[in-house]
Amino acid sequence: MKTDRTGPRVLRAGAVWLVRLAVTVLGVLTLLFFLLRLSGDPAAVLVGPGGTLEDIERVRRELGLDLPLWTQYGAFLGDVARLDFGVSAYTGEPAISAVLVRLPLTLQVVGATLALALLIGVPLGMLAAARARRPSGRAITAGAAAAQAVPNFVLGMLLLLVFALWLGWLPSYGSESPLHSVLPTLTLAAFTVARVVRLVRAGLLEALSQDFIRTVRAKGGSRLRVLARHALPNAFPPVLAFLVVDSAYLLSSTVIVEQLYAYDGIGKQLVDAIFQRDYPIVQATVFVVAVLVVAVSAVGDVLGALADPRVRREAAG
Amino acid sequence: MRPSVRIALAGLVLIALAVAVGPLLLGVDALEQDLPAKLAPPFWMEGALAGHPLGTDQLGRDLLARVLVGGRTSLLVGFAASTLACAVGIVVGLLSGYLGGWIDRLIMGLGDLWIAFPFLVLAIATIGVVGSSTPILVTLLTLAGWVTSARVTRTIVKQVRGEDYVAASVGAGAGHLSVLTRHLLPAVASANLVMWTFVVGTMVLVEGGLSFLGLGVRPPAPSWGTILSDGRELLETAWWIPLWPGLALTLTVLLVNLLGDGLRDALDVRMDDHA
Amino acid sequence: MGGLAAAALATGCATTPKTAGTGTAAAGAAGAPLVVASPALTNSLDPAAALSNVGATFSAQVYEPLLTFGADGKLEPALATAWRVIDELTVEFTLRQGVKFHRGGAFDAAAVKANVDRLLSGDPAFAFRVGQMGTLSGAEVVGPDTVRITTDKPDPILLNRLARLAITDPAIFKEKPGSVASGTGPFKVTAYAPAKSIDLEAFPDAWRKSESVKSARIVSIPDPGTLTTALRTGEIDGAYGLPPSVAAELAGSFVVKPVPAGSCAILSMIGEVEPKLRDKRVRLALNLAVNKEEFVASGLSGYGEVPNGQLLQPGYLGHDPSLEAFPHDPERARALLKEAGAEGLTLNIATTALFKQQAEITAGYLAKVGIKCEVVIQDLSSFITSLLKKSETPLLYWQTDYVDLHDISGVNRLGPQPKGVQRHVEDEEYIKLFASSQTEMEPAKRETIIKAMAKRLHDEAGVVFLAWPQTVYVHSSKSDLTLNSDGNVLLAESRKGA
Repeated sequence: MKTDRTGPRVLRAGAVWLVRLAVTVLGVLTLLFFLLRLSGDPAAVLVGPGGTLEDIERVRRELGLDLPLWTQYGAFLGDVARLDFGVSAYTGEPAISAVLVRLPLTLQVVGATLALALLIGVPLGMLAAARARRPSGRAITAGAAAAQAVPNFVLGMLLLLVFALWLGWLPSYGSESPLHSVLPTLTLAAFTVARVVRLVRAGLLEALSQDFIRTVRAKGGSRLRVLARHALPNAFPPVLAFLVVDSAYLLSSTVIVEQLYAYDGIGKQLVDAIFQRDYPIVQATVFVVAVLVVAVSAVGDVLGALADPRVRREAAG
Repeated sequence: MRPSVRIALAGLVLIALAVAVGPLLLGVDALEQDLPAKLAPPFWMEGALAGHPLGTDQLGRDLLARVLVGGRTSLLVGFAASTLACAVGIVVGLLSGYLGGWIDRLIMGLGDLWIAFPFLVLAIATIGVVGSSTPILVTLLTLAGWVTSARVTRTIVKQVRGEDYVAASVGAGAGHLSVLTRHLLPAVASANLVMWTFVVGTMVLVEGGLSFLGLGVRPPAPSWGTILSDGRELLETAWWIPLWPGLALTLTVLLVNLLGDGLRDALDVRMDDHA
Repeated sequence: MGGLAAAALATGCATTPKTAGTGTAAAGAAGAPLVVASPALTNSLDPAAALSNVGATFSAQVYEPLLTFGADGKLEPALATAWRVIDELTVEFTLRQGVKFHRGGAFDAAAVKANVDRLLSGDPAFAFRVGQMGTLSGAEVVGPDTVRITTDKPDPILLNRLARLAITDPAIFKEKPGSVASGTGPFKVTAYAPAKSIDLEAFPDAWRKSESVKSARIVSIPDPGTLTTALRTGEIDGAYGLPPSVAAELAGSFVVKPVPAGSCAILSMIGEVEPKLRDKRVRLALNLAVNKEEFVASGLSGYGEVPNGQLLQPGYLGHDPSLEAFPHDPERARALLKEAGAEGLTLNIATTALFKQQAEITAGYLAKVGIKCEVVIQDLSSFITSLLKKSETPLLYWQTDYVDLHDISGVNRLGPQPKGVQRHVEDEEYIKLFASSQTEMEPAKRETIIKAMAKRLHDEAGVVFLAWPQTVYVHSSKSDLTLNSDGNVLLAESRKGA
């Protein structure tokens, strides 16, 4: 009986997801379109400080920026539907390929950061909760608090000094090899791991105080065992929710580490493009990020549902 | 009150007082530049200058005065923005998780839209149109930060809504408001306190980054974030410039963490059995 | 290996190159490439689309113009061996024979014409270069080695303009714009990662060959701290475009070469925003308020000179050595402000993040004479709009670059403006002089006009003269970077250390 229903259900979920994707992407791009055009002029950058007003106006005409906003918006929507974001007036690169070429490097750093958050953050958080009243637990908590108080560019500079200059183990700049992504990842991960440690700890302590855990403990379960078996499943969904949002932020905010290590991802490209008012690049980047965010968000929902013990209990019953 | 909460509160009040009254007592102008006295090291080092106990910056301005005055903006922006972001996030997350259905989908869709949108574009456009001021800055940072808290809150609400005691309460005829405030709000408090403690520090740093782009406080007015980001180039030689605002920020964040943990425990009295 | 590297550092060999991840092992038998870095890379491999401030260094290795500025600032032959003026609107060039493009095609008159035609095609990507070319209106092939360049009105600095017209191989015009290169210069491009790196290899058929450097790499490292680290680890051999404060930090352990930047750091005073700035006493007061020596020593870390009250540096046509710098006299500045009824005036300064510290120092001096002054940082697009169209703030901190045209014409912001555009200098006399300098074809008369402009701007205190900044090059003591007269690296005459 169950199998009969699975097919349509999956189809329906897929359709809902596609609608959500379309609406979100359209919303983001529309907002972006108007805000970008409110706030500056690509012709100014192209012409430079030595140009004249006529130069600017000529460039605006050539870029089609003198047309009414609604006409431009209509043309823009048509282009988006064909996945054609145009060519950067500044570099001559086709916008979408300029973004896709750099995307893997950003994904690599963001993926590694999330992996570290799960592999290091969660166990440390459990330890901090299990030893909440002992010095080791307090040390972890304090360490996590300190890690998030250090500005990432300061951390980045320190890592550079130690690993590139003093030890000479890692390159100081560039993105040619996987080795080049180590320092950017460490710099980025410090924040995320620290947050996960503290979220896991708080969630576990919260769960420990609930009745069903108290019952288990009364039956003589060891603390760590109880934590892992019973409390963690309860504490995990909020951590997951946090990681979903964080991965979205990470995707578009890797700019500081990219800038610091001359790492060639999409973050720095996006910020440079914003300052140059390079509309095609900004729009293509934001489009790609929006698609990824909706995807991550959907995956997060599915994982959240799977991880939630009550949902699982329902499914089993 | 627990001792940790007491320590944290006392510490934060002390910092707030220092920042509010300190510059008046000190009587040194944080904006007064004196180029021949630039990059003077702090008092214990050779070459330190009298009257500049913490040293001077690239323009020969007194760092003690700048850190104190800068703390006003940074603390105001940091606390206001993080508190508002969490408050908005909690309200939105509670509604989304509790009401479910299309409202939930709409809110979460908005959340996706929001986190996919480049904050910098929003900041540049807004400030380009309405200008830069502390309230604008707080609003922008609140807008930037609410989604994390909303999504975490919603997840917890969805978890807890199914719990027996909530179901029992609804069954006993409790109104929505009562369920929300008596059962759900306490359940999301702990995670949100953790969020809040993070965000205070982050907001101070983001403000610094924004002012470097001309979107935060205007030079020569200081903030911890701007002193830090201006001093980063000189991290190797004049390390004391980023050190002081960095220390002030770290101390504040640690105290806020302590406060957050203390408040969490105080909200959750049952914790004591597990000590 | 890490241990070894650490040991090497401990014994003071901070510049020992390490193989760890320089990522350029592919350089092969020719030896490791000479690597130079700067905070920003050219935006395009097409010199016509490259913006001057980021594109010049790249262009100088791969492309060549018809004529170029020599060490003394005079025009010298490059791809053209001779030129003669036909009439007010036409110049004829005799082209160098036997020159080949990197792709193998021959350089000839048709190639020059193709370059001019393409530039004037109206493509917005060329907006900056077209603006620089000003009066250029066309080219005409006379013979395979003879070409005539025409203008739409008499232009005394046409040749200066053409020195910025790098000739590109017409064979690549139809290819992906901006990401392919073929010129006649001593290096050809072998690999390009936009905004990140350009790999160069010596071009064996160049008429002006690279002597020592066989392969080179231009990379972008936006963070000055990281750039410093990469210099110390030996991952890069040299750097340019560094902020002066960073260069000063490196002076102890590296060779630092400052060269005049061919620009003047000024404050524009916009009378339209603050009418009090139309009072000469107020403008003079601002000039007296700033301690220029301290400004250069601190704001530019010593990499600059105090201007003697004019825009042009020595060596540029019309520089007047007899003018004197405004002294630092805050007392008199206060008195003048009081006299003009401008005490307690609020004058904010707009600038870009690049000049934040310099603008902040200037604001500090203005504060000392009782002017309230905040610095408004704008992003490039907004700032250029403030500069070109309309500013919200009464003061603008910027650098008037005249290095590109080697002429006062580069400072057209201070000249006549069309209706509806703010004027940086409202003095009619100066504007009239500027206009006549644009049409006077007789060099001696022209020099007199430009000198008169300098005197007028000085007497009127038309802008706040702050500094003649220098561009700074840094390299390890083992390598050597040679610079051309424009202040760009010439890799063909540089050397990589063993």
